[in-house]
Amino acid sequence: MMSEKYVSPDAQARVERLVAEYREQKKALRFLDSNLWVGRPMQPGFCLRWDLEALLGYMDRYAIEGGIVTHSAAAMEDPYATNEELLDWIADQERLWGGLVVTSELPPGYSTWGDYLDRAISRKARLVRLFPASHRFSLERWCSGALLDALHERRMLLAVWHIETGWNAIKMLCDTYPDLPILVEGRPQKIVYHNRFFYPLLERYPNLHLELHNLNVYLGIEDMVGRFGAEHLVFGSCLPFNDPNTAQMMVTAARIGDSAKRQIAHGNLQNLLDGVMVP
Amino acid sequence: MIVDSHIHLGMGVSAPCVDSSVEAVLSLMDYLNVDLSISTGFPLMFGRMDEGYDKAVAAYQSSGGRILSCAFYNPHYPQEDLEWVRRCLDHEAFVGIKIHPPLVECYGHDERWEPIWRLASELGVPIVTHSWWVSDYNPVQRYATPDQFEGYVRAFPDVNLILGHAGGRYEGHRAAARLARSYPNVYMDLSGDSYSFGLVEWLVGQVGAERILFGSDLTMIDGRTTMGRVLDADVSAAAKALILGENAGRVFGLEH
Repeated sequence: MMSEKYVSPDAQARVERLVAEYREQKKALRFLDSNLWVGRPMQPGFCLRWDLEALLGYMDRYAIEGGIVTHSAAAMEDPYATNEELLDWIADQERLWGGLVVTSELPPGYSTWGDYLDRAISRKARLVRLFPASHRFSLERWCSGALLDALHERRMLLAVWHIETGWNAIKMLCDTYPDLPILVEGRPQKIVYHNRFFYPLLERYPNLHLELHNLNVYLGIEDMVGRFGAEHLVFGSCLPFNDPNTAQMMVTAARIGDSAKRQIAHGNLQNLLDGVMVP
Repeated sequence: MIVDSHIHLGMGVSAPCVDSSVEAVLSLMDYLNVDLSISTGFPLMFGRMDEGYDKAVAAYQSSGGRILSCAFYNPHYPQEDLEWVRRCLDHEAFVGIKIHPPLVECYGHDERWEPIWRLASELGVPIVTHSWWVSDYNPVQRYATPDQFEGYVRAFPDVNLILGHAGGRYEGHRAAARLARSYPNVYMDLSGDSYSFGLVEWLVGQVGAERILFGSDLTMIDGRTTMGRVLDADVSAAAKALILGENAGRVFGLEH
């Protein structure tokens, strides 16, 4: 068996050059991440540290300048208590914004969604993630209208997983709330098999965005930027569940213009963050 | 040498493909510094043998020998497919045999695979298999959990087995690593969407970089997702060189 010491100096030098180039490209693109997580998950993984300090260390290591972080427990237990815990954790972190998990029920102690969201936004929340299948509610107006109206008014980012909503519901959201930025994340299943759903939607809805961590379609970045522009694509890593390089090299090595790369790596998310109405 | 050891020329209808042409694959290979790729073409996998053979040979010739292929074996057609595998491996474009237990719904340990292991041993070529773990949303994956291959790996120690996707998901990765630790003829590739944070480093720690091959799953999944994970992994440059191509060169007997 060949061991590491028998690798030719030429092969090793070539790899070292590719590594150096790739790391430089990552740094230059100043990644801003829409999909960071903190807090111990229930499922096993190869990552062993899930605390905030570890996350900040990972971000430095993988050249991610900042991002939106969500509490891993928020999708599993009391989302309002875990949202509060998260907002406490990130209060002094300049590089981080909060991603909340909510259901269609008004949080305890609040009489309107506007009150809850305004307070959360003032504490650096910028995104809401909904799990209608797992948490058993509908995105239709009769069930979630008050929540969605309040998000819409505030231009708060709404993140959904395609397996939690289905594509018809995503179309309904795009139609009904045209100023609400909607971000579809391919978790836990890749969306490589879903082009036939999201291509027609990207064509029609400027408020629809796709997050990158599982958007692994062969030549997909080039094709989507060519057809629909770079505005629809937003970098997200799903760190520390997923290896951030999965999405990062799709951008650094995309055969698109530098301006489009910068938009996808950080510009589009920065614009969405800037668009949130801070009370 | 950088080798993408797991691609598929052609188009699978369930996964829409932007451009399935050989030219597009070659163009991306050039852009990413990939020297060689090893394909199992969709026509071969889905039983269109004449078309698949011709396309594999044409890809080899038009790429200047840079796109190689695996023959494909379906155990439900043993006589016909053994003849096809022999015919394929008579041509220098073919360097291995691909099996896909979920696609043909035949468990990896089933006795119907025995003829192809025997032929691989006779011809001295590796077998690449799809491998995954039990999945609640994709139940056919149960046909290819890594442990199912143990009997054949033990019975044919001269045949190198490459577990495509390295077992697919967390428990599958653990099972793949267990098999590779127990048998020196077991390898695994990183193709597909097994993107767990820390996976590359964990596999290197478990089985050594010598047993891991870079692969993409073109023309479904873009290889940049996996190349980035290898380039930026917390392992040595020598380990990365092994994973990115030196191992594939050795296992498939490649020259560049």
